[in-house]
Amino acid sequence: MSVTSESVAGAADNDRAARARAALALAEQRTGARSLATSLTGVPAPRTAPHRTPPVLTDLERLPLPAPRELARLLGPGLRRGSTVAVLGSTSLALALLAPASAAGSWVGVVGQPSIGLLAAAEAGVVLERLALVPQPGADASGVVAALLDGMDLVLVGPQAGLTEADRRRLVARARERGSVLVSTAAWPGATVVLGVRTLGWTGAGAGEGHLRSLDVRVTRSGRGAAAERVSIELTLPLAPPGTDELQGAGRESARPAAGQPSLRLVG
Amino acid sequence: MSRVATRTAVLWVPDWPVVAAIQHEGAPPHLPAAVHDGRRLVAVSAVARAQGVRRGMRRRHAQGTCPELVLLPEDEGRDAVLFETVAQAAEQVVPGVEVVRPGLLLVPADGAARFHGSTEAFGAALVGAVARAGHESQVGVADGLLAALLAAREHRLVPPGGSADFLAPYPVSALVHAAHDPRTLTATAELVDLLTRLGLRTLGALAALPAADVATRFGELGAWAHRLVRGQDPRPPVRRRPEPDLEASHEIDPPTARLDVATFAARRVAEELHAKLLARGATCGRLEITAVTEHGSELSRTWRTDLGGLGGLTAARITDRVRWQLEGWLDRAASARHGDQDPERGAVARLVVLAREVVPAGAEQGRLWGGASGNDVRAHRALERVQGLLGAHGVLTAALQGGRDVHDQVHLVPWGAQQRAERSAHAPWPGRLPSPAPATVLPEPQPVLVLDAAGCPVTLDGRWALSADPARVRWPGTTHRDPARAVAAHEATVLSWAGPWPLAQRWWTSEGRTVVHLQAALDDGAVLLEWDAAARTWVCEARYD
Repeated sequence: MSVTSESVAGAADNDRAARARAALALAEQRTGARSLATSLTGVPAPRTAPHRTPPVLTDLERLPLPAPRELARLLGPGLRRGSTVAVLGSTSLALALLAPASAAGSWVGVVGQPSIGLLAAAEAGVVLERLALVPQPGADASGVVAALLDGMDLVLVGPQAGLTEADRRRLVARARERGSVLVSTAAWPGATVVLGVRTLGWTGAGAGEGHLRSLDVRVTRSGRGAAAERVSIELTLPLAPPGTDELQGAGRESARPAAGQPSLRLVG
Repeated sequence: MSRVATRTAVLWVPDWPVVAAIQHEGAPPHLPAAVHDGRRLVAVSAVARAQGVRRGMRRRHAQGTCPELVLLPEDEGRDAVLFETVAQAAEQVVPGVEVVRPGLLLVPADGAARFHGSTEAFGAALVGAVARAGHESQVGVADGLLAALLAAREHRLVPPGGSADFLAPYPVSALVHAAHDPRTLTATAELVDLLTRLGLRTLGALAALPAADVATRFGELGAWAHRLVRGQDPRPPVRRRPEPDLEASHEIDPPTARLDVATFAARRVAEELHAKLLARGATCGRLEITAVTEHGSELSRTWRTDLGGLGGLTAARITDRVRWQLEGWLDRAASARHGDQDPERGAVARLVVLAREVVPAGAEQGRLWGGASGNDVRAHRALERVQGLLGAHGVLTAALQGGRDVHDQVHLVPWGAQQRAERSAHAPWPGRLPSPAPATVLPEPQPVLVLDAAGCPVTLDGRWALSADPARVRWPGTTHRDPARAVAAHEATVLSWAGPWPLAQRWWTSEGRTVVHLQAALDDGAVLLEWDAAARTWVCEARYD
């Protein structure tokens, strides 16, 4: 009996300690008090299958960047810092991937993708004030991407960035060290997660009437490590921009009056 | 505990927007004048008011009331710039003034009144100094902000401790004079409305209520209003320590079109300016770089420097900015020289670097708990490094602007340069392409052939109707020295399509052009096609992918 109650108490303590640690990590990460370089020497994150991970802190040292909720089955709770994600076959999906982190305050750099549709980016929810474009990185694309990885949480590398195999390895290592996420719209050998997109069809247009409204796609995840298991989901692009769905951010939900309930009116 | 309000003097120039507009536009001052924001009048001169023109009138109505009324456009920048002369005149009388808004100055009165002998002498000195600058003004002195503001409107001095009695007979709507930013103004107007409906019609009635009850019923704003009406405004005016703009310039003799020579000169200018800033212990918010060519034309651009403020403004960074800017100009000048001589461009004869918004160094700092602030500084440093690698035009930032097609709606500027969007995004822009926008906008449109089921090219007639339903889209294939931009010849079947949407833009100018857009979902992805009415050809503008 006493053993049981002790273990229960122990579990409660562990739970409290974990919560306290998580709160501390969050505060330190927000204020920048914890340097990312020292956090690397900490305990490596346990590699569990992302879609089975409950949406809690997976990595006590570095919070993942927010990712679209619709991709939770493929990416887990978010974009793991230091990872490399290749999105092949859909620029819209790449923009949707950048949007939640951008809306949450991260900077986004776009290198070697002169064809990026900025209007579409803004519609997807990417904050243009925190977006920097390097359309033609020239001969020193590797140096440019490395410089951006130092300062930004997300760097999207397009097909116009001329990178050699050695450059790519160096950049992956740089991203891991700095805790940034590298997103590539071109094939990236050795990417942590590869999202392959196959178009199923557009809806909205007919024979001259309507207009293109949404794109149905099948997204297949492959990759290395925990992401090696192939998972496919069907999605409709464009995804809802971050902040529009009610399940994100409990604070926002509580601030909004519930549907059907009359809003308070000032009288007198 | 009773708080004693700071004795405050307010200098008010009545109808400042009109006064500034008349001065700037050179309109005759004896004619009635008014400033409008495109729809309604926002300020009216005394002459116009005497003829029945009122603030808030529609333009037509005002012109009907007073046919010789001079209507001038609103410009907040002009108001602020011209008010600087008034602020400087006031500063000759009392050091450190607070500009609440153009037209209104706040000065702490105690010390200045002692220096000038009496409050009356101080007020007279203020009005006199502003009159020498060429403007009529009124001064009010009282305890606290609201009383001083209202006293200035009556041009009178309220004795110390007399603010509450002075304020008591005013209607509560006088509270809006103390609100200066639009948000507070709206909130205050709502509070005034509520107070009136509750029967509190004068400031005296509000002041008679117990402070705790006012705070409980009307919250933060009510407590603020209550403090104001009791003449217990604890906030002293924020003194402004004006710093003049700093300038460094260098004559290049003989004028040069070579970048290395110009950069060398830029380095000297930058070092001179940096030394000046250092000597004052100051930093600046904007750098204005001007190059004067041998033909006398001026090329000027403003750079914001406050973004990366924590990195410090070193001579090397000023030099970089000047170099990037010259690079672009001299390149264009060189390319112009090969063709016909462009009188606008030419060798640079003089370089001027002007530091604007000079503030004491250390006045700006990151927020203590601001993760975001740290983030921004990190990103700014990274972008400056990339700019150092690629030049100023290598790094771009984007903003949305008004427009109809996919290119028009995005405004790209080099990072750090200050250029505002040309067109407002808040206008309705009818005929805009429907959302969602294409995720891939081709930098160079690809020429395509749109074919009907029989294999004949699809064209548009004079009524913008398609000659036949599109069935296939064929890329003839283009070659390019950059293999990434070459397009392989291929063909795709049209599954569904929408349009055509004709768009005739700016037809009243020489750059007018009429295009027709067509969305097509092909078996290998959806595209946005554009028909050029002048060339009678189709191009692929963008891809929805």
